[in-house]
Amino acid sequence: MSLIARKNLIEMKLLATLGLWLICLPISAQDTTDTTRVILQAVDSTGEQVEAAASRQTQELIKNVKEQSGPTVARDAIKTIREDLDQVDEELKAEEKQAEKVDNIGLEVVDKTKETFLRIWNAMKEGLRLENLIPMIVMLFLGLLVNHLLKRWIGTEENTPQKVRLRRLRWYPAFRLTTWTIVIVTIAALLLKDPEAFWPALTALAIGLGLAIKDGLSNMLGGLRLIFEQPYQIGDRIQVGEHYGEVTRIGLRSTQITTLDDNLVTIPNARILNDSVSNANAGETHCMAVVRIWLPLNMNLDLARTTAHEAAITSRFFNFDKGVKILFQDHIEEPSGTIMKIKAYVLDAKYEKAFEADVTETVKRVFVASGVY
Amino acid sequence: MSQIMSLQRLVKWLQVELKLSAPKAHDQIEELPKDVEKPKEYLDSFSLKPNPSLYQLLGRDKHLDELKQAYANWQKVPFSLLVIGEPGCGLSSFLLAGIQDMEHAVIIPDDRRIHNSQELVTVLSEALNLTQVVNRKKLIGQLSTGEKRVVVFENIERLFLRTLGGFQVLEDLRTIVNQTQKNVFWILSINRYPRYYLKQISGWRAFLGNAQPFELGPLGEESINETIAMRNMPYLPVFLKPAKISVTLQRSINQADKAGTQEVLKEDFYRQLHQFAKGNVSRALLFWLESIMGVRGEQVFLKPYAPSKTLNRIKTEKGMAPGGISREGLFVLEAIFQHGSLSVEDLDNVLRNSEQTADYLINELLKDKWIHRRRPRRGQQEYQINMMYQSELRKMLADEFNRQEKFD
Repeated sequence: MSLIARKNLIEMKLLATLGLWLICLPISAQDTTDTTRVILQAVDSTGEQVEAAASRQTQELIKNVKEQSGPTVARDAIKTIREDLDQVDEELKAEEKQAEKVDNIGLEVVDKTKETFLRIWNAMKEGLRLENLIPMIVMLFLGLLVNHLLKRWIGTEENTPQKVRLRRLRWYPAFRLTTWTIVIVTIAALLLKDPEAFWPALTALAIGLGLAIKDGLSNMLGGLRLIFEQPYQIGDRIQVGEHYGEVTRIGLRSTQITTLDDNLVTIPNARILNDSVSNANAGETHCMAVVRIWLPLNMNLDLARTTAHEAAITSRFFNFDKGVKILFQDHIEEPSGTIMKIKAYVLDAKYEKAFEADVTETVKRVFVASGVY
Repeated sequence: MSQIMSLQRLVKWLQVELKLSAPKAHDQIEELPKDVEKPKEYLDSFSLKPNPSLYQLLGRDKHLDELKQAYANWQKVPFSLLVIGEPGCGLSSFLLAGIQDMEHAVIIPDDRRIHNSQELVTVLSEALNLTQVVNRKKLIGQLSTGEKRVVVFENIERLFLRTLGGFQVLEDLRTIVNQTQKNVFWILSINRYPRYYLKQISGWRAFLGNAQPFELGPLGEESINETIAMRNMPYLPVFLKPAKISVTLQRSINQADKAGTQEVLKEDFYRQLHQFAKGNVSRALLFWLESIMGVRGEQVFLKPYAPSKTLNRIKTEKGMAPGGISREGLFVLEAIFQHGSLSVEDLDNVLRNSEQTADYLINELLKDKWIHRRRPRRGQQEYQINMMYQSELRKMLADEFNRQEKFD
């Protein structure tokens, strides 16, 4: 029950009891008892709010009025009720004070926000002067230049071995992120020289951007995670959903892979993080290739093994620092046959399919020549 | 007057002390005279042909003793020897010198690539003067009986082709060696890169493991200097300023007198030579040859050879770097390096080029001097890796193709 309702109830009780006391003064005890009953019945019938008036205290009062002298009892009851009323009043006052305080704080916040935006606006007006614009443009060009130099350093520098180039490429997204963060923060600092305007503006911008590009933000956060967790790197061969190919770019928003059909597929980073990713070479330049060749069930397996082994070790794409494994598996259901799996590492992940084609072609030539097919 | 003289002396003393009047670098360094020439006789003295007499000076005494010891051991317990070295390390000269004191020693000439078992039998029977040998079995029969021999089979990489069935001849040699090693002391030699490939391929480890490896490592700088000095006699080398001069070198030259300058330049020249040669005597001799600017009287003028850095480039996805090679080109170079030398036809087979593209790539590589022609006494025109770029090629193969070649 709220304080106001409680107060109303107590006030009603007080009125009722006061009336009782007034009535009780000139009449006899018997009459008093009857009158009290009538009044209390009237009080009882005032509805829900007065329901509490029939509380234990009121019941006692009726009992006392019946047994003792009505006015004395009524006076005591009034006294108690007044005390209750005072207490409720005090509590009400405290509540009002608190509400007033909250209202004041809200007003203060509104005022402060207005003030901050005004400060930002003034700082921006101040910052957009010509003498500030030049360093900002210089900073922007510096960012572009650093980005361009980074790209050149990674891609076309003389005598850069493939491994080193890939290693640099893997760090490129982090470098780019750092460069542009520095550029944006510096430009913001030039634009908003007032420190009390700088951070609120940056926060407001971040919140605004966050609300405006909610999906983009989740992709960007995904991109940041990808850059630092590195579940795959540029140059790796990955499978995401139905797409399989070489990672060519890891951006803040999306990752690009070049499929075996030479299609460039752009996948949002948020999707990659929510999907399972299979990585064939995990940072290494070489990777395993598996060649599957179907053989008749009655095939001479020694011939098959020797041919497959030689076809693999003589392929130019073979990484001969790693071995070759040849496995056989019968497939009884239609189409029936023996599946020969040639597992070998290729010197570079980009030759995976070339190796598979080379070995398959060589093996098949031999099998055709020897009448197996 | 005397005071003026004293003052002049003081000024002169100060100039000398403070090096204010020291002659400039170009005054101190010998200039290349106009009337120089490159006489053939002088250039011939730096020929790369195997020479056992010269070899005695190359600091291989310890290895020669080990070879003699191996021969003595073979007479007690039969085994064969596999001498491993990189091209140009002086392997042929070493073997020539090493077998000089061995009785009935024969060297199988490296004059052709052997493509099949019959060719192998013919080459061996001709070199060993064996008559009525028509097949491997007869050859083994004749080699297993009669006088004890020493047979040096150089560059066994010419016995295989990286193709399907291309290892058969090498396997035949293994059979012959294993079955006759009681009566024949087989000294086989192989270059490091083909050996690395054969060793890594399972199935061939057993063959190469049977023969006791004998590593011919890089030579010491002193031995190389001595060889060059001996070949250069009686000429006096005059060292010219290098094309690119470092600040440190320029400072050293500025601080030296004329004789001192020559010492500084000589030191710099040999530093560059050893950096290039990496203990390989042939590469050191090539560096010397490339550095010769001319000869006048008994003076030979040398300017340190500057290897072109543009050669160590690879084609990127964005385009061909000038002087660089494509990945296809690198596949060709590796195939040649693996086999010692290859003809265009063999190269097409090795690379499984159905469109016979090796010819075009070979011309490109010839133009960039990555390879040169080698005409064996018999057989087809072959191509070999230019020794000047051997180290660069090895590095590129490691960087681009993940070849983890390791020294044993």
